[in-house]
Amino acid sequence: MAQPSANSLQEQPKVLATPDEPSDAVLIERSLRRPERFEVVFDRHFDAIHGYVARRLGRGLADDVASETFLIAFDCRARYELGQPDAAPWLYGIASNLIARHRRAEVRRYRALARAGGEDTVEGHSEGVARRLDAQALRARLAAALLDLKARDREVLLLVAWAQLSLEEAARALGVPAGTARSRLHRARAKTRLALAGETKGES
Amino acid sequence: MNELDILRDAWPVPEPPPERARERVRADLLAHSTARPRRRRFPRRAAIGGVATAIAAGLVAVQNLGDGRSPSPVPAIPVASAAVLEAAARAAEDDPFTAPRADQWIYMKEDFGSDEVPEMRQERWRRADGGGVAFYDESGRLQVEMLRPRAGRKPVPFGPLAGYQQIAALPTDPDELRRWAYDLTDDIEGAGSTGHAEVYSVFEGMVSDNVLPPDLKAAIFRALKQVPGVTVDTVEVNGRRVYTLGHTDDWLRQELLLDTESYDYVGQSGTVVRDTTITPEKAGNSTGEIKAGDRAAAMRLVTAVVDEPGQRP
Repeated sequence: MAQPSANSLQEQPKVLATPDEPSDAVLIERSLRRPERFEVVFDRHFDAIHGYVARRLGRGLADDVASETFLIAFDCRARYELGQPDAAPWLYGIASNLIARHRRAEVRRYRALARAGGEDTVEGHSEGVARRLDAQALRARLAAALLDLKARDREVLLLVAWAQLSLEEAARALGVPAGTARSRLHRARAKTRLALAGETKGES
Repeated sequence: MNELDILRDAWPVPEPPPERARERVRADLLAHSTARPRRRRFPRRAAIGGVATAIAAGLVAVQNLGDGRSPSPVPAIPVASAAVLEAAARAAEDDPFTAPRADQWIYMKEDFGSDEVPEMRQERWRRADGGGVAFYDESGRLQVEMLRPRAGRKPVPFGPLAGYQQIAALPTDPDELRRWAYDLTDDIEGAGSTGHAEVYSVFEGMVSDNVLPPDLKAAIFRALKQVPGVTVDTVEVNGRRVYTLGHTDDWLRQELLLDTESYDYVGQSGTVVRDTTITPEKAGNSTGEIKAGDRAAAMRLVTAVVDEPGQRP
């Protein structure tokens, strides 16, 4: 299995690491004595963490939450598991905990998105008339589905879908066993799939 | 059709944070890292990612392992279903197939909907090396999202967004492949229905979200013969009878749809097998009740390999 070659990723705004560069774990270990080494970890991950928070909480909160994520990470770096070369799951775990404090903001956001497309299935519903859902309506459905999920199921789903963590990494981020993360993801995906099917029975 | 992809595509790609925001945080971090402990802006929060989650993990682990099912490598499915799977495997072996290059893109066009609700046509592109996905956003602009390699990462572990190249490197012996899938989803082979459902999902995702080398595709169908709970049925879709190859987990049967003659992949569906309440707490336009027999399907219209994201064959 080949690692993506450097030139296959040349569209990237910047190359985050090459095999010769030290892993996050090495940098974090060095940062215990030389705090400024932590800056490279920050540079590698800040945009991604910021983007993830922005998707969940909106840009308004993203700066603060992303910032706090790294300050906390810095404070807790002595407890970093040095066997884990990639710090992304750890950072997403911290960010997830911070996002959880803003659950009301997150819920408000999904609710607004859900309402924004709330008309999509009401009219033009006659049989045989196939209508395209536009992107806004699709997002509305997804937002409604996200609202319906248990917070802990949603957490795993979004870490995999938006943060692009593997299941194992999401489990590590949340500090739960892989099997637990797996069943949460499974449940969340099944519900999302059903919501996408756009069941409209019982709608007033 | 993969709801993870849909979920990613439905939200705009976040713009990078403004440079000044990054600089401000960097400055904060620097000030923070050189400050004396008592002047720290933020108290130490040892609990975060630590104690709290560990406690939660312990509780959840207990609940989760409580199903007490003993390993049961039950030879899996009825003979007729096995025969369909074997036929699908043979047909796969005869597929004319040219592997995509690492820098090419797999193009998939699908109609997504159910008998009762509007259809949505979706086109998407996945880069063969797993390095990116692309789609047209609501205003018709092409969005290409490159997935970044991460520092110190081993060659990409298999995940829902794995590319053709990761998948093509998998074992083509059915037993080995099946063991790999069980290892991936859990370490315990045959441990309860959810484990089997998840293994099924892994194979389903490989068939429905990618192009596959013939020997691997054949191995997937043969491996599925040994996954408890996999069944084969037929259903009529748009006036056409197709095989549904599926697995039921709780209230939902997930299905791959195969042409009855060529055994080609023609789509994917989900069928509700018993009435279910999703949750009463509602907002927006989703619903509480779903009924047994409700179906949603994603019918594949085109699968092709192209050179650029956004390019149609």
